[in-house]
Amino acid sequence: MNDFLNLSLAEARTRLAARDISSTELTKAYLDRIEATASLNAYITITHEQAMLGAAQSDARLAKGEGGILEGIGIAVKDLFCTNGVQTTAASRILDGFIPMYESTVTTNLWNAGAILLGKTNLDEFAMGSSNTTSYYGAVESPWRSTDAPDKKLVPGGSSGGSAAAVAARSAIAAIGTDTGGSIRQPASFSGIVGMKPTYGRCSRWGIIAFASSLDQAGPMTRTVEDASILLQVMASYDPKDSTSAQAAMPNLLSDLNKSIKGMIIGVPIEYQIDSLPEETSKIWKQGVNWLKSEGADIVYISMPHTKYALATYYIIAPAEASSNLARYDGVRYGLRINEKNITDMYTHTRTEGFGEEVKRRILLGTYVLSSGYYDAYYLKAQKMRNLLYQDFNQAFEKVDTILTPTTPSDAFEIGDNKDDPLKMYLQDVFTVPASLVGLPSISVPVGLSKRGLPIGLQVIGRMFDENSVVRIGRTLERAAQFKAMTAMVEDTTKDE
Amino acid sequence: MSIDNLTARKLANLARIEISEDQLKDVVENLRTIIRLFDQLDEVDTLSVKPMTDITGHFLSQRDDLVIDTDCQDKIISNAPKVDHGFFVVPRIID
Repeated sequence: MNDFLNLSLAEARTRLAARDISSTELTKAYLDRIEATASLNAYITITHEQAMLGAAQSDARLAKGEGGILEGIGIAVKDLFCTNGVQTTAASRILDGFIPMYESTVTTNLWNAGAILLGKTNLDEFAMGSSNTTSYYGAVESPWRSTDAPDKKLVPGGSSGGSAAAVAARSAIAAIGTDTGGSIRQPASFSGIVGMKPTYGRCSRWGIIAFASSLDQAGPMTRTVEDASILLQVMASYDPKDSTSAQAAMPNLLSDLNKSIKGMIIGVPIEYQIDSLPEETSKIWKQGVNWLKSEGADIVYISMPHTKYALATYYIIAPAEASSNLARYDGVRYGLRINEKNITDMYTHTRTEGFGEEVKRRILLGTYVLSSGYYDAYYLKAQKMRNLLYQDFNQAFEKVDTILTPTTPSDAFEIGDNKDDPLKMYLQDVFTVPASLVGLPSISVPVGLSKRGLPIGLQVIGRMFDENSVVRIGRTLERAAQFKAMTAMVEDTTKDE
Repeated sequence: MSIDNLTARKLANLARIEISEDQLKDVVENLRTIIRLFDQLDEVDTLSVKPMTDITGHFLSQRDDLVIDTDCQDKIISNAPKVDHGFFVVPRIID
């Protein structure tokens, strides 16, 4: 059984196709692992029966030599994707009891490729957070522990914290998440896994519960860059049901994955060397630069002068869009309803009881920046800043092929830290929001451990629709870093029983 | 520009969210801290910069004008807290 848990998605595919293992065995191993690691609270819903049924059907197809790219492989899905007939919560009380009558496009693509739903993973409420502590279903615990305070529970990062913890704890071979300002990349970095946000428009947003529609993108969370490439290839598609869906076909991400990066030009933006950057992050970043240099890439130091304004810009635009998107939760058509005396009271009580503190804060912020008298000063200003950030990246990409930065300023923090200081929490996103605001593809790859023994990731940002260069540089970093560190709870699975 | 108690109450009312008296101080304080971050943008001259509303750079695509089956009333109301005769039921709106 232990063998199953340490397979990569690519290895599992090969062995399933060779009928060396069965989907039933594989799926059972992961469902058992979900149970054994239940204390992490990574899953909100486990679709046990559905998964075993799907596995049997996959085995039948595999026996006939048929099956899709992901045939028989169980995937964990962030509970922000609507899944037909399976409770979907967005980790919010306001969606209490909501069972979608339709399937999101991204998950439809997975199932059409033969993948199996293992369960729905926990997240920050409505994907708003960087710690996965704002979920109505409770905080997610990281499988990692620091060497200096091993009794303290750490956050897996957020908002796709359940997906990250599941992959890191080996309770899913791979997971999917969503990234609005870093919600795939930051938890991937904290949890020692690979997380990728593709170009805005690559993955359909149809059926993903909306947070900030001009920023939201789905993406893969896996243990290897190759696995992320395989999964993203299946997730991405043009979808007429999403008006911002990209028509350009995704090139084959695996074709260039292992090619030499000789002659590629890597930009290192000096503005990301912020004053508060811990020395160890800075050191790992430099190490990454040296790895790429020794693989034959040319390194160019670049300036992106508006970087320091990206965070403020993001925290105007994202809450503005959220306040508008979340206006639909009124207790009328689905989810929670409280107080039926009169309609205004019903709206107000439903929303007051149904939303958590962080979601309410962002709705209020969004309402403020969009309200008459403040619109020009904040929302319009932020839209202009977004253009300046776009120009920064455009100018950079005239000189370089990809950009290398840290994913997060530091390693994972304790559950409960930064709770009373929203601004400190928002600073988690300082390196991930610029690419989000401009819609660029980016990946976080685990490359080392901090002094406290916790994972640190590096981020590769590419040109619009150039996922190929992003995974290629990501793969080079992965090969150079040889990140093999495991959490104690995973090490146990590698021992013989 | 800063937020006072009155503005916070007004925003809450617009957003149909209730802030209790004992939460108000914290809510206002937190909003102020975040808005101070926003005020950082005043450093940048954006007078001649165009606002960016679309990062995709392409026209929004339109669906083909085809007849599709939208007869799924039972599905639409299946999640509603209260229904009657196939309709959503809400508290009385006109007295």
